[in-house]
Amino acid sequence: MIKSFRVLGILSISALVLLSCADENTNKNTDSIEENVTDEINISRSDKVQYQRAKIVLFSLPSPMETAKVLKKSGAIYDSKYLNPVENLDKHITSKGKAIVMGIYVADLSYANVFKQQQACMDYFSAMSKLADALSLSEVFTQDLIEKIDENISDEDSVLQYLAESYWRANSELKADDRESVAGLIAAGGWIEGLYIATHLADPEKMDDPVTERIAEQGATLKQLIKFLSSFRDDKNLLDIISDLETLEKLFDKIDVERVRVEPNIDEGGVAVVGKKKVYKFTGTLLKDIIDQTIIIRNKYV
Amino acid sequence: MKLKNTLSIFLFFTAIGVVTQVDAQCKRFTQKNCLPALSPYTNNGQINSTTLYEGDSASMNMTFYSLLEYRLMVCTHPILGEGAFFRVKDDDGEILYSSEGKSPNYWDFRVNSTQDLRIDVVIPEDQERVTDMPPSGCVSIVLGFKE
Repeated sequence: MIKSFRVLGILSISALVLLSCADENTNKNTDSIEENVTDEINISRSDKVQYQRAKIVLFSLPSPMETAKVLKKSGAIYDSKYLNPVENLDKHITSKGKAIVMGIYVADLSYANVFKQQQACMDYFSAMSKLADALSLSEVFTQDLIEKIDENISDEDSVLQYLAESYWRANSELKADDRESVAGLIAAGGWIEGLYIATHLADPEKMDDPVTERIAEQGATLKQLIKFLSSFRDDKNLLDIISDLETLEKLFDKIDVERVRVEPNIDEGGVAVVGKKKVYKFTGTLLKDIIDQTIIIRNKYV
Repeated sequence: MKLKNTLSIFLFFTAIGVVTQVDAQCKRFTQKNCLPALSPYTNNGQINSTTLYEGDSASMNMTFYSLLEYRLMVCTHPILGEGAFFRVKDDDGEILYSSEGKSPNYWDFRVNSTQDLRIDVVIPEDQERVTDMPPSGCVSIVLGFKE
């Protein structure tokens, strides 16, 4: 008991020192704050172990911006009818619905941007800005960022940068506010929409279509996404979307994957090329089953 | 008992305050020291940062697309020393890259096929450190991509 109070006391003093440092000068960098803490408190190694985490495990998924680029490089075309209209924004009342649809709009905006669809980009930025407000993300679409977007909407690279910046701001603000499960819902929405777009661009009869390969590759990302969302199991808001994704995972698990070891090499640009080569094979109606299931799930959340 | 409850509530909210402060510091550190160095690659918009002690490690699985080129960067706060390094492994655990003993804190690469890779970040213990309490600092894994 005495030891528990000792550790709690140390944490408390640490907290006060940290908070007072931050209040005095919020622009101070982390060196000075951390040095003050370690200078003023002499904590033994055994005490440190009481509150130190063991091995940290982080999760990361490909962003919708990457997925859109990859789809275009695979020969996909632009068709606005595959996107979720901004008018659907008002259908969502709950924070959960708003978070998922925010992810969906990030994917739609990414897709519109790689095909240089300026008006669609403006519409989706506007929808995302409203959703950010509704989700209390005050640091995402600042006046400064909105003005920069307006000025550079015709430039694909600039739009990509602003989209990446706003996505980063949203994720970091949610992390700082201890609302990472909302970031999980946004990521899930973005992933589902990316797959939905891809399934409409693939020909279920053509197994050697590059877009079909892109769909098969999503099995790995899906497993990451489920692990990420499952790390917030206590959040009931996530249970049904996890269940939907697990249904899809069972289908992805049926894809035959041949892994071929390839020696690392360097490409013509001097960049390392690593990892195994993978060949995917769909049997029977599996591709169609994945496409159908994706449509069911996606339409549930738009 | 009442004193204990009051103390617990006080410590709970104080601890939340600390976590928020540390996250905000880590965010500023990443924004200032990591994201600009990703250029000409585009940041993937995800924040993967945490606070580690000397002697700790962190790992992360990430999916990489075969049609893109990536810059994987690991930024560690200077308080953690210069020995921090990262390793990239495939799904069989084979090491594809290690920054141990190398100066750049990033690696540019492509993958033969879209696949998951595991990134391990290691903060070695300083054997010559004289204080008993190991330092802690922000560690960020940031990813940039381009065609």
